[in-house]
Amino acid sequence: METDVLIIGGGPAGLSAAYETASRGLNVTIIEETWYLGGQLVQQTQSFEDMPNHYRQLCGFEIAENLIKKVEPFGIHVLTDHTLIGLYENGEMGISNDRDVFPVKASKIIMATGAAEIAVPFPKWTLPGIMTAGAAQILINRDRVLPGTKTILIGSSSFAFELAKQLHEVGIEVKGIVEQQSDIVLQNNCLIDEIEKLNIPILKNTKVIEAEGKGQVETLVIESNQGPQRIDVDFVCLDGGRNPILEAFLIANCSLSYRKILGGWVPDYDLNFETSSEGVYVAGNSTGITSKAAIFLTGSLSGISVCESLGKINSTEASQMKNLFWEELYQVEQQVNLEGWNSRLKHIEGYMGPNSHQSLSGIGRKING
Amino acid sequence: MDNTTIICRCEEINQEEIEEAIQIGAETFDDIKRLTRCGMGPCQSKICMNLVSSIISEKTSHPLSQVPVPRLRIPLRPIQISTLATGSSNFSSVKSVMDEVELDERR
Ligand SMILES: Cc1cc2nc3c(=O)[nH]c(=O)nc-3n(C[C@H](O)[C@H](O)[C@H](O)COP(=O)(O)OP(=O)(O)OC[C@H]3O[C@@H](n4cnc5c(N)ncnc54)[C@H](O)[C@@H]3O)c2cc1C
Ligand code: FES
Repeated sequence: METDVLIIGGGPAGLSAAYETASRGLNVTIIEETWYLGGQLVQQTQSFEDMPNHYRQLCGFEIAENLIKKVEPFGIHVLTDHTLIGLYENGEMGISNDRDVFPVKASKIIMATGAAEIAVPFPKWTLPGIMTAGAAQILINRDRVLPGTKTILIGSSSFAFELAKQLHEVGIEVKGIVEQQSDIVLQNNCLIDEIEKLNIPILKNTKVIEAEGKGQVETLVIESNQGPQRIDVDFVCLDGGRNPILEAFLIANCSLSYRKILGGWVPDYDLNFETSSEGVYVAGNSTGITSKAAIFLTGSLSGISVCESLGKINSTEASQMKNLFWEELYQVEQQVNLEGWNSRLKHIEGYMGPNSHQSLSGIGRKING
Repeated sequence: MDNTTIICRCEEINQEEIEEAIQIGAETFDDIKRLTRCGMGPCQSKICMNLVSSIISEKTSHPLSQVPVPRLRIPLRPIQISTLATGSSNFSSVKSVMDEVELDERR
């Protein structure tokens, strides 16, 4: 099989890149491991503030529907239930549909494989009923299955707070949000008030001792200054944060750098989101986890860069568009995650050399100012 | 966490086994993988990578930025043996290796 642009991952980043490339006449193929497009947005019933302007009023799954509609007219070749599993010696990608493995030859590749959740280990954390926060969200919102009736959340990111609300809404008793540290650090402190109004206890300075249960979790033992406490539960949600999924980049021999703020190891990339492997670009959470807006905007930026290098737009037009997307990203992130924005620029600098982002006229000045 | 806490759930490797590997000189995920099978399960280390790296970092005092990620191998997902060996209408790299084997040797 041959295509101009091969996109690995049909989440919001992959779809944003697909829009920019396919709408300019390129032949685009999306490889998606699951049976649907939309990625992790599909189970998100909340709306987000850290979004590009035109998406701010919508909740996650509506944005996904929007994006899918937006790319529909351009005849993108969508292969769901297909997975990237390897790379051939001649640079073609090895795609599997569970029966056959076949090569795809592409002029440019955009990898948008998203992020994975990090587990929180403690004795017997592998008992059935103990799952990541994202797994619980997928069960209630995508699959419409209740994972249980009473739960406790371990970890206190804004995602845990969001999830606690959603679990409460569907009638699950949330017995607390457990945080080892003495502080809860959120971008949006309204979430704390909302959780307190729902009478969900926020248990700071508390650590997990172990889980107990016969054949499945029945009790979670936690400990604070006031001593140990046994919580009666039938499932537990773990929120250990997320990191970029790296496997596709490792297969394509892309170099990586460690950036704690971006989520750990992240593929190296330049201002065009091209990795160290020529013709392989990156988009979405795989570029580092900063804001929701970054997922879409890095998708668009990689798409524009691919169009430019395949001669679909000239460099003047391309740099105008890229500046607009970078500017928008800066506008969002200076409000919600300046640390993430700075870390991304450091990441680019680490790969491209000092001050390499100065070419972003205007935006470059703001960084130094 | 205690010594019995499972770190690699696919291969059921616990904290103690990982610490033992570090004691005898393991410094990277791949070292531990070769000694214990940690990371060789169906998830191919997607779940245990971070947990193992933190233990290595803690025990060796190397910062996480100096604990490299595991080397991943093709295929990233399990594929059917029939795809690899025969039957498949399409080319696969392993099939091409099998094709080089003399026919009667194959039987
Ligand atoms: C379980 C879970 C729940 C989340 N919930 C929230 C939330 O509530 N709020 C929030 O702000 N953020 C959430 N996130 C973060 C989420 O990663 C982003 O919101 C967003 O979906 C990331 O977009 P993306 O396009 O980079 O990746 P994704 O949306 O993850 O899309 C990547 C796509 O690539 C596909 N893929 C991966 N590897 C391969 C391969 N080898 N071959 C073919 N296809 C492949 C995947 O199937 C997936 O569809 C969640 C993440 C996870 C893992
Ligand atoms: S948890 Fe270690 S290989 Fe899956």
